[in-house]
Amino acid sequence: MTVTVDLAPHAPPASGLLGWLTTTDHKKIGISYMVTAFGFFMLGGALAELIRAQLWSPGSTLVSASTYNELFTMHGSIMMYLFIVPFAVGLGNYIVPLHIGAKEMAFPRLNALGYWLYLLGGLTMISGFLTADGAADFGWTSYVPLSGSARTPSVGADLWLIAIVLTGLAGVLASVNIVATVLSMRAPGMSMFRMPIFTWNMLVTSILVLIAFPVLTSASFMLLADRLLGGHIFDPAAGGVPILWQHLFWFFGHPEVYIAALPFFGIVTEILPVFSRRPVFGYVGLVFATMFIAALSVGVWAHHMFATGAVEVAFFSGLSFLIAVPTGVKFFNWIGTMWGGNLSFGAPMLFAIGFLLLFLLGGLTGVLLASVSVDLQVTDSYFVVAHMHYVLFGGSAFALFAAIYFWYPKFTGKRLHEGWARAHFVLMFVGFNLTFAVQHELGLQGMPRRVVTYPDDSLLTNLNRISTVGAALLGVSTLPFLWNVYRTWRRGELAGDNPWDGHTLEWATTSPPPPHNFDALPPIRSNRPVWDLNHPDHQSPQGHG
Amino acid sequence: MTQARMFTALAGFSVVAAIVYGIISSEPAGTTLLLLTGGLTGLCGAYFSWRRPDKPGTATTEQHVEADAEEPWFPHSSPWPFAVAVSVVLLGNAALLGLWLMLPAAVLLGASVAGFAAQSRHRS
Repeated sequence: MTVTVDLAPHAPPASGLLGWLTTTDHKKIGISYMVTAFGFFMLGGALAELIRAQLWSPGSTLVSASTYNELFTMHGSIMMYLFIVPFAVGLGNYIVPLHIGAKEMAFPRLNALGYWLYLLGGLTMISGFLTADGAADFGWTSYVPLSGSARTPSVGADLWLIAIVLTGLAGVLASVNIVATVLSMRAPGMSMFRMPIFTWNMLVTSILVLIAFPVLTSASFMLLADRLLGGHIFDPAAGGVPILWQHLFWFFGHPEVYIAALPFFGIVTEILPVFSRRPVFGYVGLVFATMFIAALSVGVWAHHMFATGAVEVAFFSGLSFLIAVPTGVKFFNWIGTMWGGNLSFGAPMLFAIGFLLLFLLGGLTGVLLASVSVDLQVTDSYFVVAHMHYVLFGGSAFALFAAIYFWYPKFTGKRLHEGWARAHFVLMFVGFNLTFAVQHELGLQGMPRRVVTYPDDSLLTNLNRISTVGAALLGVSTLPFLWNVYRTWRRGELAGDNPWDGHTLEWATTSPPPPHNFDALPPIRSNRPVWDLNHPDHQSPQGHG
Repeated sequence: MTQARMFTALAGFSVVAAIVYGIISSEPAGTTLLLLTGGLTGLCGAYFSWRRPDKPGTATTEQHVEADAEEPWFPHSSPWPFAVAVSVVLLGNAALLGLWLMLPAAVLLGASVAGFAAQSRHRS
């Protein structure tokens, strides 16, 4: 069969709403993902503020117990399913083709389909708030039998499960597109081992998505079958196995943690060399550490299930400890990149350093939790809440803002204001630590998570109040950021094509890039072709792969 | 070659993990999931070993000139991804809103998938 390809210039794509609905440009889709994810982030953040307000004093009746259950369920669900990973997907959409010198992605329309499924799936999830019984209220992990139709008959729960299927499908489509793009659309000279680390990490993350997401999607279908079609897959009374849900969920859920972290490791690995004016230290080590983390992450799921008493603790504890090794390699390489460099502390670098500090703390408590005896003591307590927020907010969200400050000039041609960025960083760093550092102690004092109130005890009350003040500060920290984006959009200074003296190919094109991404590519002879072009006297060693 | 090794290594790790885990735990769900991961990543590894994407490790100036001169073909803007997504979401919600919705949603899905495919064929 022959296909006629029309290479003649065609009419420019529509603009406005119609243009947005029909676009297949990876950059516009990438921006749509990021803006949508940020919208969900603000909603999830508002729910968190309500949670913290409820916990201001013991016995508070600001919200009812059932509303509280909806709040923490939807906060976790929005942040995990609709914010952090989709933001990374959006950034990958925008940056990966630029990083590898491609003019488009491999499957532009599939990519658009992924975005629309994500947006409409996300709206399906939060539409639960509009139903009579409210949104899903069984926690973002949706454990059975709690999430079965007997204990949670609400429509909001069904909407939640349908949304998980839809957004899971969206994630798979986006990942297929990224994997195919990286493997088959690289420019001449862009061998695998010359790809920027962010692109490497998006590749590995996408492979993890392809391993993990279908498991959750299938599990959600199974639970929907139980709930809507009278199935008995998770129903022990009819021979079903409730713990099967936990196995399926966490076989998705633990890779998910790395899906929510590896892209952000990649962002930091792009920013540190540029702001240290040095090549990345231990490039190959970083690539292999990423792969090692990804491989291990599929073998540690049941460390979330130690307290069930029904899992093989030695296997899961051992592999969980092992993850500290490649993560340590990454920290070593990040420090090595900065060591002896000519450091400058622009906003992207500040957030990247914030990431290093906070993610390290989250990682260390993770090592503690991998120890079964400690885990059994603090499981389902605020210690775990503190740990996961240090990893996912202190880690990923700080790196996310680093990425916005770093690539905003590429997206828009304008540079965000440095002073407002610093105010944002200070408020966010202080607010974050106030909120979550004390939660370690709350957990050690025995306060369980997902509980609407706590005993009238001065220590617990004081720690909770510190946490709530911190959360308010954290909420306020978003304001200088939003103002910064608005004022820069209205009257920001032009940034030029390469404001940071960047190393990688996205800085070789205009800001914002033209629809076809590049008018011309520089020669690609190392993993930092733009640096080589701009600094012929200090060229990088020529890697190959 | 790198991609083949990457997938094969992941497959090898998963299969070894499945065997070890299966023996020491006798837990079927996790063993099956690990084996599936090993099998499916192994499939990708085998494919990439067989069909190596034709990408040079080092580029000559001619290749750059050739790549730059190549006429870019962009997929035209397309209404079909949005239409497919809307119909899939309607189909999903039909389970809750009422089965009457399933028929129009399925018709819309069929029509939009056909439109998607027709656009690929004609590249309009």
